Amino acid sequence: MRDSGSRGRGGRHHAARPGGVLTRAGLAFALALAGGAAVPPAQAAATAEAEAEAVAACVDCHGTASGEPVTPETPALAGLTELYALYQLVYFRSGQRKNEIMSELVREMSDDDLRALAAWVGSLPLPEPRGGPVDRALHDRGAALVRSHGCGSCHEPDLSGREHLPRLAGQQEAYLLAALRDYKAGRRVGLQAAMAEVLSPMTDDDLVAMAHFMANAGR
Amino acid sequence: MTAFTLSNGVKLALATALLAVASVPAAAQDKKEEEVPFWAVGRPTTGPGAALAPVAAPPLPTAADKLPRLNVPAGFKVEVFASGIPDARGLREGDKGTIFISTLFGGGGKIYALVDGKTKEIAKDLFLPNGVEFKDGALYVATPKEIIRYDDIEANLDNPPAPVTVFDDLPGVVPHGWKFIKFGPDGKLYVPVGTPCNICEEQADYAKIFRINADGTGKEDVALGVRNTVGFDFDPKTGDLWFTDNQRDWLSEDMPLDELNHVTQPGKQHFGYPYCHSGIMTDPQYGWGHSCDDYSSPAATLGPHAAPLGMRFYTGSAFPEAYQGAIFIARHGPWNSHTKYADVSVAFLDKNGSVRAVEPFLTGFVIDNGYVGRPNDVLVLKDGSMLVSDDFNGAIYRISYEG
Repeated sequence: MRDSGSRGRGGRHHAARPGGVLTRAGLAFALALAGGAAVPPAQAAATAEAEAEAVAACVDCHGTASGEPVTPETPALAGLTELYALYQLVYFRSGQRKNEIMSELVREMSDDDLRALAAWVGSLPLPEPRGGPVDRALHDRGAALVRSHGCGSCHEPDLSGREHLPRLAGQQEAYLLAALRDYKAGRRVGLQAAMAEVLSPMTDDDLVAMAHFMANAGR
Repeated sequence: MTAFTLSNGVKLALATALLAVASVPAAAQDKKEEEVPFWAVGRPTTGPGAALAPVAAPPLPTAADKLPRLNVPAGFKVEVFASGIPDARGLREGDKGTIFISTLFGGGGKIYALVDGKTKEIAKDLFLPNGVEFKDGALYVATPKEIIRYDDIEANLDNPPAPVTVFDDLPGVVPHGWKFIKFGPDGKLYVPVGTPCNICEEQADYAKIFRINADGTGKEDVALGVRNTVGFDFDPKTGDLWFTDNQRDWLSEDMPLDELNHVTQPGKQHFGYPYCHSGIMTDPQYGWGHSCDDYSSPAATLGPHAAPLGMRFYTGSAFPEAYQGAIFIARHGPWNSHTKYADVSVAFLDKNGSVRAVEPFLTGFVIDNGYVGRPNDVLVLKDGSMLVSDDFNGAIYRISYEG
């Protein structure tokens, strides 16, 4: 979407900033518009500005289809489903998924705030193919593991994701690896036990290979 | 591992169960052996069937003013009884009118009590505590691993007592392991153990309903060949057990048909699983050498992959006479079928106790072939009105008759 420019890409401190851009009322208002709610014309300009600020806070760290996230461990949002995004936002708010920045950002948000944010994530265009070198041997080993462990059963054969299950194809490699390690260690849990079930017998080298393949799936 | 924090003991039990599940290979893989989730075993590998998978509910309960508009027959009224209860499933009424509500995957292992329109959380972090029951002042909760009891619960909703273990000789396996429990007119607690797979043969201690004394002793089988029942009740006239049973997945778009079954000879009837489905068709893998004539046929069929869950005989007098003694059945709706449908249906019995007809009663849960709600359990209240839980929206509806 858009970046505020003046804040640059160092958005990691937003959550702690006093009087930061994400006032709860402003966000709810902005996101209601983003979600298609009718807004009187007189409020449109202010709403558009609030919307830009709210979305900019996400984009600052996560990037967009045309810009990479601020750190390798930060996931790209483009291509994720609305329902997956909503689950994660709910988990951040409840503390089931732990991330200091995200939890602080969503702590005071209402259910409707989270729904509107998720709808925005789900509306993003598909991510552009990523560059970077591909380790063919690692890629092929990862592909075999992904196939034999049935990742495509839930995440779709092309790893594009569906419903509450995230797209894996083209995601940030370091984020994927961190997520796999978190699921394996029980630091991160999903709706059901599928991830821990699949990953419990696997080695860390397996996770490295799978993350490399997923990040470069289709290349 | 599930959607909530678990105690160490539960984690151990769950991990053990998961390892058993993770080793299930997909049948007929021509490549290297591929693990798939248990629900996907047998799924078509090509075509539209390959895209079918369980339907996820939203992670947030729906606000009361955004709930679906539901329909009931003329003369009945449906209203929102409670909302904002994530994953609301099993329903029971206490002696003093408290409504107890269970949850499953999306509910944080919680049990709720609803009193005077207010929802109280009375337990959390339980292991898939779908089964609830109330008797003699105590709330019973069944997980896949054990049955526990909270004594004198209605006097202690703000500070529930530590639960007492009633029975813990259960497999603790997740697939089809979550429970529906109910006391029968014989004072015994009826407990199902679903099959730990889509379809498989070799588990002696699965795929059945058994009963125990209220203190957990005296376990005996009641019904065999039961794939996965998540709803049953006792005919108020005869005392007979009736149960809904979820049949196998993937066989085809329109088969098998889920079942409503009638137990007439406790402990002696086999209801067909895994050999015969819906009373009319042998299983393409396990049915060879078997005949449906050798198994108890369903009293009624309830539609392909319909997922019938909670069911109750209507024991009140507020509904018209035609509904008195009829069976209300929550059809949660299929996931491994392209045609989505869900409702509360009503099965009318004739004078001989046979099912005369099954008709939709509460509808409006599907729009454009997608779920906007999913009924889960039904409960006849002492005043003769009926509650219906909707886990998809985290809501409970109340149906009354106005004439």
